[in-house]
Amino acid sequence: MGEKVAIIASGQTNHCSKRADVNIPEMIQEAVDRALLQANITLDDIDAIVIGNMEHFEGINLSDMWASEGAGSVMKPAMKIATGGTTGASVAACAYYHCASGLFDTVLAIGWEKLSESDPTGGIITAFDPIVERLTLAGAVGGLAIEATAYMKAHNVPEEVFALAAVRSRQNAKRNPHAHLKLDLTVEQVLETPYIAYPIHYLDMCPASDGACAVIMASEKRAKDLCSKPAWIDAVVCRHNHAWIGDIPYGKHSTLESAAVEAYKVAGITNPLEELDVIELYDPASYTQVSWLEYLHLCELGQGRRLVEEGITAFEGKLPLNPSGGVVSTNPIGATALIRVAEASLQIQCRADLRQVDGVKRALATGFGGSYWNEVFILSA
Amino acid sequence: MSLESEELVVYNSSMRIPYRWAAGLIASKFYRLIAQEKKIYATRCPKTQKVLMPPRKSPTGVEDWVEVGPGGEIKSFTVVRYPVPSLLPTTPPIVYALIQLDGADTSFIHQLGETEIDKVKTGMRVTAVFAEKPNGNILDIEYFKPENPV
Repeated sequence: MGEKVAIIASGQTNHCSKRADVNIPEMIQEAVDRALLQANITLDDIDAIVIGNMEHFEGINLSDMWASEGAGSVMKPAMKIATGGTTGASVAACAYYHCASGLFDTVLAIGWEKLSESDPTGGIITAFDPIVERLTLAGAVGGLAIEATAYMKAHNVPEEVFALAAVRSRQNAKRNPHAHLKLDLTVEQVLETPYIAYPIHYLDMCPASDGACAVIMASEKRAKDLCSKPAWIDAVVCRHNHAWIGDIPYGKHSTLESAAVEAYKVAGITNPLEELDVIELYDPASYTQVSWLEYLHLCELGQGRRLVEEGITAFEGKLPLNPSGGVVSTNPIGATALIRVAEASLQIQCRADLRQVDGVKRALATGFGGSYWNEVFILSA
Repeated sequence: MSLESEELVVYNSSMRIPYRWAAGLIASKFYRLIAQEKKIYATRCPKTQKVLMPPRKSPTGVEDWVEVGPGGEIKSFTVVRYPVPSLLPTTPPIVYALIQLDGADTSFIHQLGETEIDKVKTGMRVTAVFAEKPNGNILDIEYFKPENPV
C-alpha cells in the first residue's frame, strides 16, 4: 500500500444529450472550475493532471493536448488515459497512484466525453479486432444483451425486474441536478419501449450524454489542510481480461468479482451488505443492477432480484444503489466511471444534497468497460 | 503442417465516421461576425490583457471582443508540397503562414493565396480574403493575400 489519499472535492457539468453551447475545452473547464470552487483552491495548487476520454467518439486524437486550456494542464505534468468504459475509473486510479506514490500532493482527475459529436456505437465497435470481431459485433448493447439473456435463462428472472431497476434509476436522477434522464416512469412504460437488443428495452439502456467530471485528490496532510471532511480512498482494485468476446465467462463476471473480493480484503470488509452504506455501480443497462450485485457478494448467485424487489437497493432501502441515477440515467463515457467515484465521495462528504443518503460512512464505486473490465473503489469517512 | 507456403491475409478496409463538432458560443459568434460583417474579432484575456486570436471563452464569463485585422504580418511560413486529400481541402503547393493580425497579440496559422510562392517573406504584410459562401469554419477566411501585390 502507498500513502493515504483522499478526495477533497469534485465538480460536474449538467450532463445532457447535446452541449452545442460549448466546445470540448470549454465543457471540461466547467467541471474543473466547479471542482476548484468546491475545494476553495486554484489551479496553482494543482501539482499534476490526469485526463481521459475515448478518441473515436469525437475524432480528436491527442485530446489531452487539445483540451489543455480547459483542463488547466498548461505547463503542468499531465497524462491521458483511454480504457473504454473504464476510462473514468482508470483516470481516478491513476490520480490515486500519483498521490499514493508520495510524488504528488494534489492531483486533478478529469473524465469527459461529447457523445453527441459522433456515433457512440460506431466508436465502440472500433475498439474490437478489425478482422475477427468488428464485422459481427453490434457495439456495447449487443454484448451486454447476450449476458442479460444468459442471466435470465440461468436464474429464471423476468424482464419486469430489470424494468423496475430502470424506473428507480430515473427517479433517483430527479434528485441529481447533474443527471441527464430525469423521468417519472412505470415498469409497463419501460417494457412498452422497443427492444434495442433482446432482452434490453430502449429504456433499460443508458443514454449517450455530453459531460465532464473533475475530481481533486490529495495526500493525507494536504487533504487535512484543505478539507474538513475528506473522503478517504481505502481500496483501488483493477481487473482486465482477455479481448475475445466469446472467451468472457458469461454467467460468471470474474473481473468484477475478483476486483470486489480484493477490494473488500484491502478495506477490511467481511460482510459488504452490512458494512457498505451506498453503492455507485457502473450500470450500462438495468439488468446489471440485478445481476452484477451478485458478483459484489451482496447476495447469492441468482438472488439479485430480491435486492431490487424487496427495495433493499432503493433510495430509502438498506443499501441504496446509484442515488445519483447511475449510468442508466447519465453516460458521457469517458466521465461516467469517474462520476461514480465522485458521487461516492460526495456521499461520504455529505455534499450530495437531495440525493444524500443518511449516515454514509463507507461507499463502493465501480467502473466497467473494455472486454468486461472492472475497477472497484472503496471510500470511507 | 508447414506454414511456409501459406498465403498471408490482408483485409483492406476504411472507416468513414461522421462527426458533428459543436463550435460553442464563442466560436459561433466569431464565425457569425466573419460571415455577416466580414470582420475578424479576437478576445482580450482579462488576466494578461493580451488579445488572443482565435478568441477564447473568458474565465470571468464576460468576453472582451476586440476587432483585429484584416491586415497582419507573416511571422513565419512554409510551403507544403504533399497532399492529404482525406483531411486537407487545399491542393498543394500550399503556403502555410503564421500570421499576427493587426491588434492581436498572438499569431495563428492560415494559408496564402494570390501569391507568388518564391516571393513570400517573413515580415510580409498580408490581408484576409473572405469566402463568398461562409460555412462556419476557419476557411470562412478563404486565405490571406499580400497587401501589396508582389
